[in-house]
Amino acid sequence: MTTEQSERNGTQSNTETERRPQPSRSIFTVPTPIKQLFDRFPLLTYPANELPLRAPRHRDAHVLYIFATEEGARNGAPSYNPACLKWQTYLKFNDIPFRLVSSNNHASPSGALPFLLPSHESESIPTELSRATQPVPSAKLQRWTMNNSSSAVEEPGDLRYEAYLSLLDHRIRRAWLYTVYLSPNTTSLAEPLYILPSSTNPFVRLTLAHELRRAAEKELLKHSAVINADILYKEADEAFSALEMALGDDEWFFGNKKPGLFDASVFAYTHLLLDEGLGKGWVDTSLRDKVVGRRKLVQHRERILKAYYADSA
Amino acid sequence: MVLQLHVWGPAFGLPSIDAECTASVAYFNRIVPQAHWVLVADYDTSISPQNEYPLLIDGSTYVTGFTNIVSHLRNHHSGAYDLDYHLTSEQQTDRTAFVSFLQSAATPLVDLSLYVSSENYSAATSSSYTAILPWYLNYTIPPTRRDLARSRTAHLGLSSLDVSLQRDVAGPGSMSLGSDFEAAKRDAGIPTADTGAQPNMLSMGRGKGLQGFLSSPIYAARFKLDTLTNELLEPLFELLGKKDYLLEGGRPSSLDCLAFGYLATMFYPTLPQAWLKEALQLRYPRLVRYISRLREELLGREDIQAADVWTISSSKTKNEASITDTRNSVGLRLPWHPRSARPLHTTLKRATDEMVSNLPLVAKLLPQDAVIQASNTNISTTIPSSLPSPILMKTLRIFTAAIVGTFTGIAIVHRRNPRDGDLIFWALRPGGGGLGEAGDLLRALAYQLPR
Repeated sequence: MTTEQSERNGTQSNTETERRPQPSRSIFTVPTPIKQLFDRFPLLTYPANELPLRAPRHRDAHVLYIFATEEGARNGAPSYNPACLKWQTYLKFNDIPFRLVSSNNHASPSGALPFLLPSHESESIPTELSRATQPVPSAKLQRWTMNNSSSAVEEPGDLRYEAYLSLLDHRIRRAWLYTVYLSPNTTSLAEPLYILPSSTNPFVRLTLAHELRRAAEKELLKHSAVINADILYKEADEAFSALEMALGDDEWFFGNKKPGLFDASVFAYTHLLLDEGLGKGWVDTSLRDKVVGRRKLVQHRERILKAYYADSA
Repeated sequence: MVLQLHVWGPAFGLPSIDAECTASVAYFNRIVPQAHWVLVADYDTSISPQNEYPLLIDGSTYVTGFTNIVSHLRNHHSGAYDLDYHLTSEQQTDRTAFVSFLQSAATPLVDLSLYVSSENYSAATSSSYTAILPWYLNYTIPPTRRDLARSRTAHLGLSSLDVSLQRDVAGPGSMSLGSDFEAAKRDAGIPTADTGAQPNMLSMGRGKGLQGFLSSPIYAARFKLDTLTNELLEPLFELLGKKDYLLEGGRPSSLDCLAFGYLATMFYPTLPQAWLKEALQLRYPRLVRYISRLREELLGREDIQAADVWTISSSKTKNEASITDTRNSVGLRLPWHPRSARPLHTTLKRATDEMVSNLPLVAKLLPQDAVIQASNTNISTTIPSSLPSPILMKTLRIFTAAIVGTFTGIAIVHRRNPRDGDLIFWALRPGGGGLGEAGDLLRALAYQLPR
């Protein structure tokens, strides 16, 4: 190697060491001419994108998914579905703070509303980390409430508890199914509450209406070969009169000091039946009339409405 | 006036195969003097306005179902046939609640034990139906009732009972010599090497440990069944307490009749899968004593034979004395009566209706709207539906059908009269040489060339 060469090499390597750091700083460095070009324009920074609408935002609160209108869910108004209203009321009885989200059956892991998504704060024990965010279906809500509420009361071990509960879960529920989905109330209750908000497509709506009707018929046909409105209403009437007798002059059912799950279950039906503005109003008032006349049940409903739903009215 | 009670025919030594029918018979036998009512073992539900039994025909009034019959008897006949007159109003309320509880909690259990469990169904229930139904209805009524029971218990997730647990016990000769030998050993009561036939301790969980053993379908179902059974029997047991009857007052009420109907249907049948009977015997002996005491008080100690009742109910005689004679000769104490004779053509019509509505494809085509009986008296206004009206839908449907029909027609006509010319010539050309697909390709190319 000659000195000339080595000199050239030296200068080359020198110039290289001088130039190298610049491109290696980042390949993203904007070439100078382009940078100059862009410097002439003002830089506009867009605000950060919002989270998707469905992303949970209030992770610190329990969220109850129920049938409700958007506005109703914001205000904490009572749900228009008896099963949802029952658990909504029960959680309120037990001083559990929660937010409401309007939803439908397709959103639920169990296929039926309501379900509750517990807050992230409740995961006190590390082993429960994975389980804490699991949704709680309605069948397990009572147990969950017992574990999470400081003021939760055990249900009374009353002998008649199960029997009276069967009145609600069978006789009154059946009459309710009939009156909402099959009687002329369909157009004023089932339609505006369940079908119209689900879709704007007339064909989807029609299918939904058909499916709802079929489901209600199927449920009723399990218990009798023919759906007879008079018998359904008569049985519901007997049930309501039995419930009124059971309540008697007590404040809450079975002489409890605090309202419990049974009161919530009764309220879920009596409130909706007594609510004049439900949907587009009652057309066929047969079932509603059975409650209107029962003073004690009406008072029971008003007591709960005043104490627990005063702010949402 | 004579009250007519129509029920499903007798089975398992009880007056009826159906729990509510048995309950109604017990109720009538307890309070209505025997001269004032007749009992008909019937099967044609079309006479009942609700297609169901028990059915009470009181003059021109038709009443269906146990609770409706009881409330009809309470409100008519000036309360003479009211079993519950001694109850206080509070007890009346409790009765209403417990009647509803019984119906809701006991029906699934009876369904599971008699209908859903395939072993029990094939061994006991279907043969009991054979004894009380004419031959042509055996193909329709029991399967229909079984399907209903299935749909009622579907939410319980116990369909595993439905799987036939019986291994095919094939006749001799159909299998190898070894299995013949095993079968002979089994018949002789010698334990065989065929471990799969019965879930015994050796095949326990198939090596999956205790958990695998317990989660095998039959045991998992057993746990669920026990829970269900306890949900019904525990409250009844507590309600009964040390009393003779479910409610205070020292005499049976309509609640006792209904409880007897359900519990007897659970307890008396002899079934291969007798989990209900075992649960009653092992855990609730007091309820068992209660059932047998009620049976004696309400029905008398008699074991009703379906064949005896069948002879009476299908006899043509109208003579009261001869009916009584027949009844006494076979020793039936309940006032069984013959069915009113129905003309042949209605029987034929019913038979065809039943068959047609059960044919797999035809049944789908027939309109199957649920029968809804309603008297709309309380309707103030009507609110028009905001859904597309049925007329619009019908028009749309007809329109679509017309378009589809037209296109199909055109296609058919086109196929029948294909255009003449090259195409036919092309299709009739004899097959190409040895070039196979390549030959076809080449020929197609050659065809493109100008001739």
